[in-house]
Formats: sequence, C-alpha cells, structure tokens
Amino acid sequence: MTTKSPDQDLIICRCERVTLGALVEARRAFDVSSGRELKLVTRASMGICQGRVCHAALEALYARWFPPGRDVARPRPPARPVPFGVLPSLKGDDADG
Amino acid sequence: MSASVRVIVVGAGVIGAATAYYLQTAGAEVTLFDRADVGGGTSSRSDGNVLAIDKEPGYDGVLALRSQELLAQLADDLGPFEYRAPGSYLVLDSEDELDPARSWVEQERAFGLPIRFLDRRAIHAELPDLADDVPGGLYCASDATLNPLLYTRRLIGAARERGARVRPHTPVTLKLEDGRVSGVDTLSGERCEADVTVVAAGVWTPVLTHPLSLLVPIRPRKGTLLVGARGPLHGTAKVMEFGYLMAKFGRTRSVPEEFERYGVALVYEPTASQNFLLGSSREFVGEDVTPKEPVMSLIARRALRFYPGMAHSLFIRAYAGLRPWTPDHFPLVGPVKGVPGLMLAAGHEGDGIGLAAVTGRLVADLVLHRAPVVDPGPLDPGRFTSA
Ligand SMILES: Cc1cc2nc3c(=O)[nH]c(=O)nc-3n(C[C@H](O)[C@H](O)[C@H](O)COP(=O)(O)OP(=O)(O)OC[C@H]3O[C@@H](n4cnc5c(N)ncnc54)[C@H](O)[C@@H]3O)c2cc1C
Ligand code: FES
Repeated sequence: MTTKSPDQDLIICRCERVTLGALVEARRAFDVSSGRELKLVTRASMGICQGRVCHAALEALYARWFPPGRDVARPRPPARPVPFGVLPSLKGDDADG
Repeated sequence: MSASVRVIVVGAGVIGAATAYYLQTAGAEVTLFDRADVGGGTSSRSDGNVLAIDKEPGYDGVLALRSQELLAQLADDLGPFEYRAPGSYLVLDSEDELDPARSWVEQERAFGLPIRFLDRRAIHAELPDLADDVPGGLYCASDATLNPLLYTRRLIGAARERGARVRPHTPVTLKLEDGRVSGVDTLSGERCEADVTVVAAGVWTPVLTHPLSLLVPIRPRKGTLLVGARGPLHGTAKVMEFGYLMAKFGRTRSVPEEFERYGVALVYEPTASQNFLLGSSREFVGEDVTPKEPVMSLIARRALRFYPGMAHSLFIRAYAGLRPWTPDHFPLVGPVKGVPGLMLAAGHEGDGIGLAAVTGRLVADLVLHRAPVVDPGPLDPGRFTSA
C-alpha cells in the first residue's frame, strides 16, 4: 500500500476519520514508540468495525515506523458488533431482563 | 532550593507519569523507564473517573479533594486530555437503599463535599434515560473525568520538555549496593545510577521488590469494561449505582449472588469521543486480562436494569485491566524504612487516575524534603513491610 508521495489527507481509518497526516503528526507530537501507543492516541482502528477495514494499512505503517515486536492488538470480543440486548443471554447465566 | 537530585522512576503508567512530572518540574533530574509502551499497563485499561463521591469522610476524602484541585491546575498547565468536571451521579436500585443513601449524603456534606440527595422526581428530571422504577439518587458536583491515556502522555510529554529522559521498552531491575538501592539495571546490562529510585509499577511492584526480600501486599484485581458504539448516548452524565460503593468496600448488597461474586455494579461513562464505557467488575483471578463471557453478560444485565434503552445500542469491544489492590485500599507511597534510596508509589486500586496528581506531588515533596501536600503517614509503606 505504499504510495510515492503520500497524501496527508488520505483517510486511513474511516470509522474514526483518522488521516495519514494525523498519524504522522501524533507520532511526532507524542513521541510515540509503538503501534499500540499510536492507536491509543489517535483512536485509529478503535471504531465500530474494530479495524477490519483499516488494519492492513495501519500494520504497513507501523512496520515502517516501529521496531518489530511492538505491534498492536490481539482481537477482542465481540467478533462483530451486537446489540447490548443480546449479552444477557450469553452462556453461564439465565437472563432476567 | 533543590540541587539536581537524580531520580529514576520505574513504570510509565499514570502514577509514574505524575511522579516524573512533579519531580522534573521541581528541578530534579528524572529518568522514566517502562518495560513496554508508555501507559501500556493498567492506565490504558481504565475508566477516567476522578471521584470524591465514593470516598469516606476523613483522609480518604482529603486525598481525593486535594487531587481534584491539583488536577484542575494540570488541566490548565498541560496539553488537552479530555478533562471536564460535570459532576457524577449515584443511582439507587431499590427503596431499601434510600436510608443508607441519605446518611451517606449527610456524612459527606458534613465533611464538606458538594453532594446532594435527589428524590424520585428529581433524579428522573436530571437523568431522563433512567429506568422508571429508580427511586432516587445522589449528585456530587466536584467530580471530573478525563482520558487516562492522554493524561498519562501529557504528563510525560511535559516532563520530557523540561528535560526528563523517557525510556519505554526497557525493563529494569533494582540495583542493591551496600544495603541501599543505587539505581537500576536494564536487561541489556546497562547500569543507571540515581539518588532515589521510585517504583511505580502498579500490580508488578512486588516483582521488582521481591529480590530485596521486601514483600509488598499488592494484588491484581481484575476489572472488565464494555465499549458501546458512537451513537445516541444515554445521557451525557457519568452515572454509577449506589451499590458500587458497597462492591468497592466489599460490603453486602441486595443483588443476586452472581453479581456479588464478580463484584459487578453499574458504571456508565460517556466519553469525549461520543461512545460510552460500561463497567464494572472486581475479581481476583491472577494476571489474565481476557474479558470473560459471564462477566460481560452480568455487566450488560446491570446496565440494562438501569438503562433499558441500551438494549439497542451496539456493543463493539471489551477489555480488562488489573487494579493494584492493597489490604486497606490505600496506596503505598513514600520511602521504605531500612532500604535507603528506594521509594514506592503503587497500589491505587480503582483510584489511580484520580489520585495520580496528589501522589506525584507527594512523592516530589518527599524526595525534595518539602512540606508534604498531604499527611504522608497513612500511606507509609511501613504499615505493611517490616522495618
Ligand atoms: C476496569 C478499570 C477501571 C478503572 N477505572 C478507574 C477510574 O475510573 N478512575 C480511577 O481513578 N482509576 C480507575 N482504575 C484504576 C486505575 O486504572 C489504576 O489505579 C492506575 O491505572 C494504576 O496506575 P499505575 O501507574 O500504578 O499502574 P500501571 O498503569 O499498570 O503502570 C505500571 C507500569 O509499570 C511498568 N513496569 C512493570 N514492571 C516493570 C519493570 N520491571 N521495568 C520497567 N517497567 C515496568 C508496566 O509496564 C506499566 O506500564 C480502573 C482500573 C480498571 C482495571
Ligand atoms: S476503519 Fe478503522 S476502525 Fe473501522
């Protein structure tokens, strides 16, 4: 996904509207040392799709910017968004509304 | 006037960050280490509540109020960290809680907190999304909220601007020489000397002090949070249930046994990014931070009991963190008798975000031999560790 002259307005994370320029700037301003740190200060990949759309682009940037082994997130539940209303019936409890 | 005291701070969570900030600002020469990311421990797996409403009158309350004052100052002095002080609510589950809630209000007002009781009419007027059968609540005007990770980073950023050295991804061990802690060793064998070494390593503090035969009674108390998608919020106020106080102090509540077992009580926190966080749970289950289904389910049930309209909101993520618990719910802050060169600043359980400011300031006062911002006596590590 490398481009010759990256456009700073390019949206990397759609859900949270994080541009390439915002990532570059946050990395500098906060002296960020890893992908997870950058994620937490910009919210990139923390939107409703949980990074499914932006994950690959972010990984490519992180690989360029940070030493290996400092990467991000293991997947977190749920696999995809669900209404809170279905949670009470998860296993291990009898739902009571 | 302080000459340049060299201080090493171990742990770049919110406590180490505030400690580094206040020390460096006061003229000390600080090096801050973390074995991993800045704020990568409990401080990035937390709510951002800065509460006085849930503190007991007396020293507990004094600490919270002093920290709220210092924080208001930091909000002016540092870059933005989503700080706001809208107050907070405690809501009641049943009429049985009316009397305990009224007496809590009385005792807190007598102590000087800006807190008031809200009857059925008043609570529903202020929180229209609440379930109809909620019989009342409490409101505390001084309570604040912030983004814990940004707050941590702003403190560290300001310390760095003033000359502090910040070294993430560098695990260290304490170096003991002639009966005193003389600094730290890094994994790669580098030796770093300091006049004082402050251990602010949260739940991992006992691992650092263990080789000195110093037993620190901090245990990880897991807490799980659920994140709701951006969308219509269920009110912009921060709301907890009165029973949260009971869960926090380990007292009996009148809820089904499984809620007690996992210490589940409602905490609803709308965030600056327009989504919301739901908590919370309290469990002793080691260092596992995987969110578990029964606990997520109980948290959701508790939330739906108070906010039925939440059934249609989208749940997008869950995560858990480890609160650094201590037997008397107070942190260990200050020098360790019998081990010169060492200070502790750890064990803030569910209040580390709120108490970071007063803790950092107190450590700086103690290191630099200034008049302490609060009485350090009740926080003396010596109450647990033997001399
Ligand atoms: C679900 C949940 C909700 C919470 N909500 C709130 C709230 O609303 N308000 C509030 O005030 N508090 C809250 N808390 C509590 C708060 O998060 C903690 O009290 C606080 O984050 C503790 O900060 P710390 O700096 O002591 O620990 P940490 O943030 O864990 O920092 C310790 C650091 O030490 C580092 N470290 C460990 N060992 C070494 C080593 N050998 N060398 C170098 N570095 C090392 C770690 O990597 C870590 O970064 C909550 C906690 C949880 C889990
Ligand atoms: S595109 Fe980044 S979280 Fe959805």
